[in-house]
Amino acid sequence: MQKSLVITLSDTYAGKAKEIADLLSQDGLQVAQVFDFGVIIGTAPEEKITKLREHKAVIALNEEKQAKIAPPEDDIQ
Amino acid sequence: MLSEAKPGTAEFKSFDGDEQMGMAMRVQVAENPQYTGRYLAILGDGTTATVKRKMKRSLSLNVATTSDFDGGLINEAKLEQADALIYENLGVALVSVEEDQVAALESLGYRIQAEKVVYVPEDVIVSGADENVTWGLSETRVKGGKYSGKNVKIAVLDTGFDQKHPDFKGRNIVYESFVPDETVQDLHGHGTHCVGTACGYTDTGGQRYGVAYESDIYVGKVLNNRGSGAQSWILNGINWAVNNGCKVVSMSLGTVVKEGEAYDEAYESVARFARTRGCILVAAAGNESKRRLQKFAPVNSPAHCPSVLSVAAVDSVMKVADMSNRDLNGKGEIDMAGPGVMVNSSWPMPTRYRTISGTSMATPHVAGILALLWQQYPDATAEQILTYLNKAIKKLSLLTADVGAGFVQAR
Repeated sequence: MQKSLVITLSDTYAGKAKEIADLLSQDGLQVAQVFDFGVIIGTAPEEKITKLREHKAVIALNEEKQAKIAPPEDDIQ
Repeated sequence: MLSEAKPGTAEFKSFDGDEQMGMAMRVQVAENPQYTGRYLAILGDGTTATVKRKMKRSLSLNVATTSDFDGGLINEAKLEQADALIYENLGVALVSVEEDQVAALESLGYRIQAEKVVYVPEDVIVSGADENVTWGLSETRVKGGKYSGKNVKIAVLDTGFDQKHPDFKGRNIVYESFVPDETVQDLHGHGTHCVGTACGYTDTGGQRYGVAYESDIYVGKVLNNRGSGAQSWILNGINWAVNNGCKVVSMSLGTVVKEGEAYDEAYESVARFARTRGCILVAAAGNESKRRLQKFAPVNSPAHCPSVLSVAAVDSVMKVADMSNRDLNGKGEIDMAGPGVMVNSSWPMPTRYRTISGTSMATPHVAGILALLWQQYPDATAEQILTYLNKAIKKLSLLTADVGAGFVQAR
């Protein structure tokens, strides 16, 4: 099952995000977006996640989160 | 000759005329008059000396010129003894003559216009002590301040904005939607409310509800019309705002986290990146608490990141709002509190205005105030702006875990 992932690189590798994204894609990451500040968005099968997380440039790998606010009719927003 | 003032001073020094100073250049003030009683003569061709000579010969006027003031300020007091003042670089003279002398002036070849009185339009509220404002703008001391956020770019990342809201007519607004298949038009309302507090101005009743009323508004839609958004949309929105030179990013949004959960590294990375580019991220602490039932929820993400300014909500008597989340990890995850109970602001038409509560409402107050500081200190770093913000904060007799350093203040 494919998971949407947000991968954060360490400061050391943040400036090389594109190169790291290429390396991670060889390990099963389908890269959707690469940010200059060292974050890569992509998808990967669940079984590839452990290997992606072990990459030396990666300091955090999380499933993409959703932000939510209350429905418009609520008085608490 | 008049030469009372010493040469080299800014005082009026010579009329080059006789000493009959009977007709002074005074504005005749009646109740809301349309005209001052003086006239503007458009001179056309002709040297200053020629104009002076003609006016003196034909109408016996004492004529001053702008060069008589040695480059100093020209004001009514200094014009007391002149009948006419020639603005040499403009080709215009301000003339004080009786109505029946206007024809004589025209016969000299000048086009004559009555000088108009200029008033501040009645529908423009000048910021001051008697300004009518929401409780939030009053308690944060936005009221009476001299800054408006002019030329400061504020990004509000939310559900978009009602692009046809009449209160924002004429404002500089840049739109971008990061939500697939949805335009920036706000079909929820939350985004329009937050934009109103951070960047709006007054309602139809003349009450001011917006902080940075002359700021440039960057509306980034990162939450869909049902009020939810993917983290990648939000990261895209922040990246867009920073790359467009926004000095503040207001995010009244968040993801619920568990107690003890570490902060999100991706949000922290983008927040640090933003700071290096002179941009401060502000986010809502979240509304999952029910304090009346002794239930306290932890600060949402991204507000709980160290480099994101986290905002709690208090009411008008400085009591923590019932829903406002708490720093349960003891890591200073609440930075400050803002007005977050019964906050009136813009709402999509035809409703136009709505009064609601939440940390989402407190957050754009802080964002707007940051824009005022950026206007005041345009060359400052993000860290310096945060120092100014923290210096002004009003301390509250409440837990730091609930309100951080205290209640946000504009000055």
